Amino acid sequence: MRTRNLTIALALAGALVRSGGARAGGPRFFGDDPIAHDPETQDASRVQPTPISQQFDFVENALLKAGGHTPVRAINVNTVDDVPDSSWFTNRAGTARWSAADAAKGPAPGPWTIVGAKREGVTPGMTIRDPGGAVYYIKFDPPSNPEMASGAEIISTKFFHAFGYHVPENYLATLQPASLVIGAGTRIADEDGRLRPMRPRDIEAVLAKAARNAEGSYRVVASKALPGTPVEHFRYYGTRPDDPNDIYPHEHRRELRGLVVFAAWLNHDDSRSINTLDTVVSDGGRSLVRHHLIDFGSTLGSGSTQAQTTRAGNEYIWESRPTLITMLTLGFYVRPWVKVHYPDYPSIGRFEANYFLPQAWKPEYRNPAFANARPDDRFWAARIIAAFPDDAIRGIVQTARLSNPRASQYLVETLLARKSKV
Amino acid sequence: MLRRTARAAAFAVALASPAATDAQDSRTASIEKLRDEKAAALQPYQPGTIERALLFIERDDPLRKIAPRNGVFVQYGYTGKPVGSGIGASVGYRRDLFDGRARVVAETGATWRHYRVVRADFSVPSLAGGRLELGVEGIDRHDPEEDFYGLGADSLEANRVSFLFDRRDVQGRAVVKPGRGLQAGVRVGRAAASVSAGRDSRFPSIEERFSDPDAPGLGQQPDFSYRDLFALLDRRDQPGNPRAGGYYRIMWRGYSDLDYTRYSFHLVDADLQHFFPIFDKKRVFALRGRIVTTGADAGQIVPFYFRPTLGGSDSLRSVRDFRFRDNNTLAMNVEYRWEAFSGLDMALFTDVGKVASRSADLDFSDLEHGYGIGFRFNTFRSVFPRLDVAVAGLETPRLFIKFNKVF
Repeated sequence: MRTRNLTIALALAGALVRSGGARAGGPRFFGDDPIAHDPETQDASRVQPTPISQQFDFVENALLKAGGHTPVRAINVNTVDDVPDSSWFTNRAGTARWSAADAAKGPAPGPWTIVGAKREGVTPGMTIRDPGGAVYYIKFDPPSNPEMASGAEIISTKFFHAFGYHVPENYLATLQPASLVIGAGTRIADEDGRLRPMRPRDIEAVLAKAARNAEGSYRVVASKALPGTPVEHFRYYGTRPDDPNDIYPHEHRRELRGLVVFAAWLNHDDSRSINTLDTVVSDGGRSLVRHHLIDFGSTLGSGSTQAQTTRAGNEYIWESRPTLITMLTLGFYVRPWVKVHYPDYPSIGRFEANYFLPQAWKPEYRNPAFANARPDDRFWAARIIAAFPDDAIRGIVQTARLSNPRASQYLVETLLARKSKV
Repeated sequence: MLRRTARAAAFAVALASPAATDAQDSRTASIEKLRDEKAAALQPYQPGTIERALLFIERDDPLRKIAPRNGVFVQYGYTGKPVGSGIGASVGYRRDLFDGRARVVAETGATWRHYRVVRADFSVPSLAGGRLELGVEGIDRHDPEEDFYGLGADSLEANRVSFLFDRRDVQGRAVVKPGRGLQAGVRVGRAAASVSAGRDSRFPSIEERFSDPDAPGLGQQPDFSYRDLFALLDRRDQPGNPRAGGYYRIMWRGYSDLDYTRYSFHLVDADLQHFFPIFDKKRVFALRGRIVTTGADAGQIVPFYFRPTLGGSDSLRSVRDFRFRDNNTLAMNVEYRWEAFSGLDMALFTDVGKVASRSADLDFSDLEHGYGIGFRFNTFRSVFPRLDVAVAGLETPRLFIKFNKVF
């Protein structure tokens, strides 16, 4: 592993020296420097879905240290150390604004036709088609924490979009059970995974696991289907071997390295491959793979199905040192993050700023791009966060429409305090 | 992974080559050249063997295919598999009927120590909006290597024998579930029991060392009718791996001898568990007390094979399974559990208990005791497996490897 990493390091260092013009006789800058757009001109129509095993993702990242650690500069930055626009990232800093009209978008009212559903598992949901023909995936809040997961999803989606990432269009909506119609031919997997026609009782089973409003409706996140053909997830290291435009090892992409800072600010501890999605879209007459971050239900204080755990952001699922210390001291050593106090806001979950240390923040398990992040990568991201106006943060939090104004205020104050630390 | 890393290195080297930069007249052209080269060598992603296997498990869920909720199933163990019966498996058929309003289960199971069971159950589990369950069950058990050391606290380890215990039951039940973890119910049934020579070749058979006075019921086993009443309140946060809340159950059961008017008796079984969490449930004090008492009218006696036992992996871990047996038992367990990491809890525990012929003697004097340490590999919702090591005084430590929680 060390030898391979060294090879990459030397090669990348060489690339950087060349692009920097240190070699005598070579141009320091080209006429088109600094490039603002990564020229992804190849046709990617032959890209095939590449499923990722969640268990293997954990094993190869947490235990096998996929992607290694190579202390070289990010290789997709331009000559002014910025990230060119690409299928991964679009520079939007300072341009993102949300209006009341944006917040009002989402599925059109009226009958929602169910075209798919998942009643098993801890996070049931359904796919609907609105009267306008748009398809949305519907996500619910857990009964124990109304407004929490939906609020986190709405808020974090806007932030990550503003940072520059490709994300789904997520909208806050109200589901009226009476307005649901089972589409002709809609099938659902039973407990054994066998498909059968969906029945009204299946809707009841899905709704039974969701937080319900007093008047019988449901606050939901309506996530609009991404354009293009899904081809599964991207990894945080290596490249897609079937995508001709994907030439930079992901662990050395600036926007994926710098993502650790954004993830830390918003406590996006579930920032792993399974929460990404690649789609093949048509662009200028050729096919292109667009890389998205999806599923922000486990951000801020939300753990999707319950309040976030105290470990989130503070320690990987598996770390040998604290584990051994805890074992050998018979549990008398208590990890300091266990003792952190969180105010009791069910609509927020567990989110705080006092104990938060951006440089010490960790996702669920090792992320190769995060592991390769250098100070310049972190600075790039921190600069974007620092440029985020406070009133824009307030505006984004308001779009979550939390019913408790004190919870909303606490969330704003916590985000601002964490921003200061970043 | 090696291939992917090598490929990444190759592209990085290409990026560094003069051909990739200096020979081009623009940054865009140099990058496009790299993409041209990759486009000429595209290949599909090829997962390795381990990744393919894990993908198969995640996507095809083979365990669900061999043990589906509806259909023919095969699974490890069987319903009510006795402790110490060895590794076993069962095969059967189960299905929801009438759109989930009823359910039928039929299974047969066996272990490598020749224990076996045949069982069928029909239930209507969700009457009255899910608040009432009715059911009927038939079960035929064959337990050929049950342990017996004699009755009472003074029974000797050296007197260990085995006996074969066959039992056929037909039982009806009605269970009310008002909600919030509360259940109450009644069961009525008929049981035919039979005791004969034990099949465990390591130990003598019961009739070689004991006779009816030492082991009441050894000479003759009647058929019984029985009825019971029970109530339970389950407020554990996760029943399969509790860290907070409690579980409280009490049952009264009366047996009537249908053949000899000699073995009618009643039994009360109370099981109380409570879990006190601290530090965000990363530390838990788990307490359990279980008391089982039996009683019989004058002229009646409780057969030895229905008397409660003490010892083993879920009561007194410093002694063997079923080590003590008598009319009444008391067991208490205290565990201090701490989370080493999210997949492993450890525990320091102490177990105490006693058996007594008279319920009045079931006090806190002369308690058997043991203590030990446990390792519980777990998910948020269940424990699998656990390793408990228990000792009592200078005796040989006992190791239990189990695929369930202790309580």
